[in-house]
Amino acid sequence: MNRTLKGLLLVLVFLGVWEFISRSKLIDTLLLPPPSSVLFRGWVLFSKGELWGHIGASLWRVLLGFVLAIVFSLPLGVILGLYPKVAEYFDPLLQLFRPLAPPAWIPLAILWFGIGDRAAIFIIFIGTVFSMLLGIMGATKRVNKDLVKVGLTLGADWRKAVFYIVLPSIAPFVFTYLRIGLALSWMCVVASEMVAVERGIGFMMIEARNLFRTEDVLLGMGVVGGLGYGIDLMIRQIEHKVLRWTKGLMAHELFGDHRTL
Amino acid sequence: MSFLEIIGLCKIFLNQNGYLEVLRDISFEVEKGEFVAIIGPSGCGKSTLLSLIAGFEKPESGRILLEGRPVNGWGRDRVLIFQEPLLFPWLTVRGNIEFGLKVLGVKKEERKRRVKELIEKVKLEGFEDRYPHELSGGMKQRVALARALAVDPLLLLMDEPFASVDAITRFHLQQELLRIWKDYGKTILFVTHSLKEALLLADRIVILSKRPAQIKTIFQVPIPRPRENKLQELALWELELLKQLEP
Repeated sequence: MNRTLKGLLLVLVFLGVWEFISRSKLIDTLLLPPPSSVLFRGWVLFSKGELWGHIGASLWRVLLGFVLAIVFSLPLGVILGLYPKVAEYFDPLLQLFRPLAPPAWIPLAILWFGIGDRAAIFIIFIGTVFSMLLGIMGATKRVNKDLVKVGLTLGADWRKAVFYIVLPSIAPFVFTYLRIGLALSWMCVVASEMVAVERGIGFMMIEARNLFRTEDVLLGMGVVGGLGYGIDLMIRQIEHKVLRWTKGLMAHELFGDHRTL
Repeated sequence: MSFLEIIGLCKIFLNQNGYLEVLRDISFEVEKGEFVAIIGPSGCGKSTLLSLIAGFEKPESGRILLEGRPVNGWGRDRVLIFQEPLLFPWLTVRGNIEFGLKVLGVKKEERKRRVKELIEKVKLEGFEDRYPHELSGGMKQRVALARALAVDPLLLLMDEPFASVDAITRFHLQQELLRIWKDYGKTILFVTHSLKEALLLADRIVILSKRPAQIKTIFQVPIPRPRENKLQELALWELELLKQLEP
């Protein structure tokens, strides 16, 4: 069975169980409409073109907030990872901010930026940047000292050692943190759109709740999940290409293929 | 003035229990194109000596002069080769060998030409596009050697480079190193813990005492090259040196 089919299997089972529960009236269909009516509603809204605006708004915010967080956390994480003495200054400050959940920033974001894109982007940025920063910092700390020595002895200066040795060394971890950061971005965008903006999927969901359109609420959830999954797949494609060299080095290869054991 | 001058080198490491004197007043000279082995009991500070010459450590006192200029920090005129090959796992054989050239900004055609030549030199034709983890230990060490040669260093600093390969591979690596040494006329400082290896390879052997390392003696190897088939002579000199070195 190929990968797509394997993955689809449980999704179909999940939808089937849900459809069954809704249809059998175990739960009021007003509270839990069956997936078939959510899908139908989706088809209607898409063909009327009402969803595209919301999707576009959310997607734009996620990408901008996420890219800003990368631009900030990658260089800073590498520098702090390479200079523990500098990191000592930053550590308490970062640790103070880290436990604050993204929604905790919403009041401040609205005060600063008002209702709109900028508030949402700020929340996405702040909600993802600390996790990625600490992850990249940790990965950089563990870069093999001797590999860097080899590079220096072959004539690399500081900048080239960072670009040609440190960055490739941390690449496998960076991809993991990118994927975590992206998922966090989607969590943040929906949370912020429920209060801080007037367009976007989160906004659509809150409106639907006010009108008791449960289908639309569920549809919004489905769209966020689907978009998040889609972008994650794209990152995984890039990861697969960039990290081709790790093929033959990973523990899961021992267990993945029964012939090797 | 010699090619490489080591003058009164002292090195002390600070640790929890105070300090550890590693090197005490090390002085010797190396001529251009010479193959010098450094030998001594394990933990005596052989690697520290190489690390000082490579410029990764600073001596407490003493000076290192290469072509009359004091060594200050690391540089590609003195390339260090470690016991582990330490190849970049994300680069292929070709990528590893051309690393230093790329860092230097050498043009692509020139890089290609140099890499091709070096791959032939270390007999790795057909493995250009393999990743390090797909190679045997001996092949990895060959790549490390080619990678070092690519930047055309004045001095090759080798820290027990053949210590972790099997005897057969070691024999072939030693022969190849000698061939490369002759072809390129490089100056080599070679740390080893094997008297046999030192006698087989080196023009002179710097023999260090146990820590803090001092120079016990510098031995000029009298066996004419090629030496690999002069087993009796090698064995006799080994015995002779072992007797001399008895504590």
